[in-house]
Amino acid sequence: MQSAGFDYSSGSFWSAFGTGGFADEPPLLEELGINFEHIKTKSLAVLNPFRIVPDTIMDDADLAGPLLFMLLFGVFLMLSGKVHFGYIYGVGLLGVVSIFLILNLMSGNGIDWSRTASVLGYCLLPMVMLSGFSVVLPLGGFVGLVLTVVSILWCSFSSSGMFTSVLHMSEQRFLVAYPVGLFYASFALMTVF
Amino acid sequence: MYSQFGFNEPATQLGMQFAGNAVAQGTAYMERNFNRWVDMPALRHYFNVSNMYVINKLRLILFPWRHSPWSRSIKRSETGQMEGFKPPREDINSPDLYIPVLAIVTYILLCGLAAGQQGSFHPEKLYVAGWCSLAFLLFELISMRLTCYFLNIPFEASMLDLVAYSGYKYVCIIVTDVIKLLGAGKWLSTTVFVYTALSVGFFLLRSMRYVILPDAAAGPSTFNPQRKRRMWFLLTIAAMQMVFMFFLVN
Repeated sequence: MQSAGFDYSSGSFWSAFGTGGFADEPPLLEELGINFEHIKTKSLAVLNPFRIVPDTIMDDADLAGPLLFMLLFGVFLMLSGKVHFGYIYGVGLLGVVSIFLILNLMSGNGIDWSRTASVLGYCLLPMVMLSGFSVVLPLGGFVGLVLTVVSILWCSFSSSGMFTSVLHMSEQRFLVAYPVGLFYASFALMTVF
Repeated sequence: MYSQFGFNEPATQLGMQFAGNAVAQGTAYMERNFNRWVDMPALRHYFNVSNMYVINKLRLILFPWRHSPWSRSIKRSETGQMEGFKPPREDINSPDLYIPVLAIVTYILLCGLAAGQQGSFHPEKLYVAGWCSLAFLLFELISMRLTCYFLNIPFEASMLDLVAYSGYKYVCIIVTDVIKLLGAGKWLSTTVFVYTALSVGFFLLRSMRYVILPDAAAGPSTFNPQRKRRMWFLLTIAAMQMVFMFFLVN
């Protein structure tokens, strides 16, 4: 659980309550595994779906960025009057499990579920922007419909690009994009209705 | 490990190890049982599809009239023996499970969408749609297998092939449902329904020929009663598609 370099015997029970900390203690963010540089790189990779994604981008499957995005999505929905945190959790879980199953069956080498959750969570960013937009402008009319369709397409395009490059799949990009698109469409349904 | 809390006891470390072992054993148990029920390599063969395969197959389901060779390509080993069939990526006539599975999921979501459009959406309806599809699938599977047994047909294909063939009609159901959702009139949606039912019936007629009539190389000169019964069975399968579609289209 803990990496080498910890010195448990140098501190006492009460040092946890002070601000001194232990000797050789790594900074909190590094211990929690939150790496802002990685979050920024991956978010930029999502925002520019036309750039080729290197296949080492998901070597560390961190869930901190996706958790942040999902929380932001829930907060924006709450600000526009829809408190759907339970639905977000349920749909997200169901979608991650089914995409995990499909990807394991379709690719040559398998994938583990934390990496699928990580990719799907990062590519939720355009949907978060849509929900932020829906706080100020209701999405009922034609413009809202166009924006919703564009964000679903953007999300599925970038996540299918990431999946195909990380899993080294050949000629299967649209086949990955379709179930992922259904997943993001259910999030969009929550935003619009 | 937790020496700073004063729990520097072997018992704590033993407890941690025990918990870790228990979790690892639990995962191994689940994986073993999962692999007993679900044959992963066989399933992988059915999901080994490419973009062009899916596009061409969908076009084939909706317009099968002009397609010419319907036989599946055989994968031979070095000694020339038959090792199995080629995967869907290399053979347009091979059945796959990607299209049926996603068609069923899309159908369930479309049921929910149609219910929402009528203003009566409830998550119960999604469960009803899901269980209906599963029930129809099981019914078709069991009746096809039993009829093959009664008609004495040597059944060399696998059950997953039958699942795939049962699932292809959901593509037609989706097309009809989308036309209905977009607000077409009664005549147009009935025409689309009848056309797609006929096309999937023809598609299944040609595709399942190798399952039901294994000695298809022999010409029509061998019209014995057994062969006639098998041909009727094949035609019944194709015709029942329209009946099933009628019940599943909302």
